[in-house]
Amino acid sequence: MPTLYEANITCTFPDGWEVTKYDDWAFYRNRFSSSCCGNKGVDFLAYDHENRTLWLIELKDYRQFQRTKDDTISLWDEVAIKVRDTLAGLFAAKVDRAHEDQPYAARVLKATKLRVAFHMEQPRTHSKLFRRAYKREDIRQKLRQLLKPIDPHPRVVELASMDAVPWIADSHP
Amino acid sequence: MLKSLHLKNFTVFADATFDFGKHLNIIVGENGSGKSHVLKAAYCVMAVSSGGAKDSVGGNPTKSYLQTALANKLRDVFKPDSIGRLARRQAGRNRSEVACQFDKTSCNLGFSFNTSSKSEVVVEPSPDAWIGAVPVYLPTRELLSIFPGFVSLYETTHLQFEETWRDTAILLGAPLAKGGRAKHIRDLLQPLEEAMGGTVELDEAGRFYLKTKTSRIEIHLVAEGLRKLAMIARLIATGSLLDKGYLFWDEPEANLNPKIVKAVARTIFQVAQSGIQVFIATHSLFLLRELYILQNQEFSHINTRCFGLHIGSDGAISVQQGATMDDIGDITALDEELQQSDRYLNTENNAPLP
Repeated sequence: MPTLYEANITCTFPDGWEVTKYDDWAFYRNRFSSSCCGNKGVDFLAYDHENRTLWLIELKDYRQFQRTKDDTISLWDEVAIKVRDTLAGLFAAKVDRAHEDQPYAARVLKATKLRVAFHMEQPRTHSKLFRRAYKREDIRQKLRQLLKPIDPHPRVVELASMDAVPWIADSHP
Repeated sequence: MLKSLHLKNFTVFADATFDFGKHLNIIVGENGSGKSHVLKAAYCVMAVSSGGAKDSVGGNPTKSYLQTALANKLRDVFKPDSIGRLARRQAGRNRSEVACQFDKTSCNLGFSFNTSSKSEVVVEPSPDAWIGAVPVYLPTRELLSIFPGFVSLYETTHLQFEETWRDTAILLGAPLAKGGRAKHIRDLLQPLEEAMGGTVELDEAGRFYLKTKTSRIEIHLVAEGLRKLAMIARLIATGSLLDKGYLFWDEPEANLNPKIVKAVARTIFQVAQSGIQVFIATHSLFLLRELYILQNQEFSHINTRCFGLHIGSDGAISVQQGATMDDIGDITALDEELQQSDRYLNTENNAPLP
């Protein structure tokens, strides 16, 4: 089964899915990320051939790494921008035939459905008023507003609650 | 059914049209965005049109009646120094327009006035028929505790209370409903009485009580939030609400704790399901979420429209509307909650670990 690793989290996808770490692509790193005043990208792309569905997956693990004051952009805006930039990058990667990621981009852009998943492990909290730093429903509602034309039902998941997404996630110390 | 409301240069609105749904309409916006003004403008038009049917004893609407009645209603509901003060504040003279369109087009009614209008409005278009059903307006405050003698005091002295209070107080004094509707009323009352822990009673002296299994408590001694719930329960129990056509409810969540808001959300849908067109104004994320949950479960057949009022950098209000909460732009309450999470994390990150 295809497996990807990022931010202390391993995701194992169903057989037959074609998965990749988008921000490891040479096309993205060397050419696209610096174009148009700068582009960002989601962590994983996972293509479900059977359902012609492309998942754009972003992972954040705040159990060990804090959001820093340098994070001038909000968490939800960051996810939305990464989704938008990744879609632009995929299209550019498909049209430009002079790189090794072109065939993947061409295959997954046959998708008839786009889905977005944001996997976030919450920061630890020490307050009764804030049992969890963020409410998952807050993040989800905000992403729904921001991503409606792309995916009106984005998933916000964590290890303890994967909400029946089709892959399995595990933590790595 | 009210199909749309158009407001031009009216209070905070430069030019806004609200296309309402058949059952439930949810207006969301922060303080000062004009939520209550939308409810009150529509209420004034409908109260005048339904009152006209009674006053004219079967006669048709006339412009002269409507002009006087609308001006009086606006004055008594909005309480401006003069009618012209309801025009949007901007340099120079300004003309305000308000227009209501109904599914029955012969009821369509609009009016306008100038910045300089003291107490007169111009009716255009003038309706050919009255609306049949009466509107009910529930203000943010509960009225049971001020009920004894309030209506007669209001009618005989010059009180600076909005007339919506008087209109609703009249309905609170109606006798309890009997007969065929009683079962439907019991079904609607059940979640409310469960939340209140008793039933509402009115004695001969015009004082309200909450009757529990063990005692009878003066309404003044009951928690403010429960009094508010008791007000809607009383309107249901008397049948006053269910034989009306429209419910305007300003901030149903005001003074209520989340447990009671949950019961109120259900009541809102049940009232809408009874065939009453409901309009609520709110900025409570908790209430919005309760409504969202119910809408996606047992009340999916209820036609709902959502409206987001947004204050622009120039102070102008813009309206975004659609079938769901996701169609109305930013929700201030949600953004504030998320930003609070960020502020909390900053506090945690800067504090020494325990």
